[in-house]
Amino acid sequence: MEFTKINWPGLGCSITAATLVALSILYAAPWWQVAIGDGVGQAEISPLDYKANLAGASIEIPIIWFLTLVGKLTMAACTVAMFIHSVSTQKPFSKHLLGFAYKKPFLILVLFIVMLVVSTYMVGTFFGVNVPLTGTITLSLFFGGATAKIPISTSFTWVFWLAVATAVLAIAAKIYEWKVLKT
Amino acid sequence: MNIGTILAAISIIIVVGPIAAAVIMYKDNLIALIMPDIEELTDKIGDYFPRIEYVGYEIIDPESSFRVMFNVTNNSDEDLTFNTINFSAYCSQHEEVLLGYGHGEDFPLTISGRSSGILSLYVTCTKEGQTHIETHHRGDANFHAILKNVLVVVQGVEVELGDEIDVGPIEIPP
Repeated sequence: MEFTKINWPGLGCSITAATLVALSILYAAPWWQVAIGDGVGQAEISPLDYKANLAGASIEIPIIWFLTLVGKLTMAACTVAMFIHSVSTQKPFSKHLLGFAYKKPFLILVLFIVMLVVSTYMVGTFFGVNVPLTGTITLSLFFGGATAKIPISTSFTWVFWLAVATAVLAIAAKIYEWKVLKT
Repeated sequence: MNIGTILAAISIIIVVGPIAAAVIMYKDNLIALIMPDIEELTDKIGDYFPRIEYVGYEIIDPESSFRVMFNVTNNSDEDLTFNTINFSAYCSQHEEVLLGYGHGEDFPLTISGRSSGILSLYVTCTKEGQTHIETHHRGDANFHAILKNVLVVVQGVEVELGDEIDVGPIEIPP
């Protein structure tokens, strides 16, 4: 194997994508999380996993399990295809593998961000409170003559930034193949 | 079949396969596929709210302070932490008379999941309150206090109760 013929960004992408899949399977590692009060409720969300509970009750929506399975399979397929492409760039099938793999991490990331923005917008529409993608707000609720002030904190985790790195490396792998390996 | 076709097929199967499986599994009740079980959720959330019952009182200093105790039953599996409780105590019979101010004792108080614990509120009487009790309620065996402006911080959530809480009967020494 010639080192100059390896698609290094592609190899990096396959490693980070494999890490994302492993983190999901082993720890259900979220990309974004929301915490309500001090343990009143929380949601840990990524395109590969979903976990939410409110007041001790787990909120399970079956379709989300299937959608996160799509996310896991897509990322796993990307990992395998990108790895094989990266170490065999001179093979005739290699270009097809790159075409198959390079858009997937980027699409998953974009869909995830769009879903987050839409979800927070819908929460704002229904509850009249603008939940930031990252930060803390206090939601005021009035019920039965009582007033409740509920702190809500949201944040991206380091796994999200690993997903960003994976998407960037995937695009870089395509550019590398186009600008460096082809010449 | 060329590799491009195989990869395209894999792309489609990865996306369509799980969604098709979901639709087939839930074909008799597609709503259940996209909605959580609201009934089960409501029951569990209902259990999260503790049951609070008045237990009794204890006079610490007949002239200036007393303690009110409640039994808190936590029916959920999670621990429940009361961070703070603050309130004003008024005379039930003479509603405009402020007796004093109270707060939760030994807070933060954590009640473990599926267990009960005693929540103590410590009330310190103001000069006006002391004078009022001495003048109007000395020897009163059926004295009631009303807790108003109750502010509870539980699990980091601040709740200002609109309802007043009647506490009693408290026996005032002669």
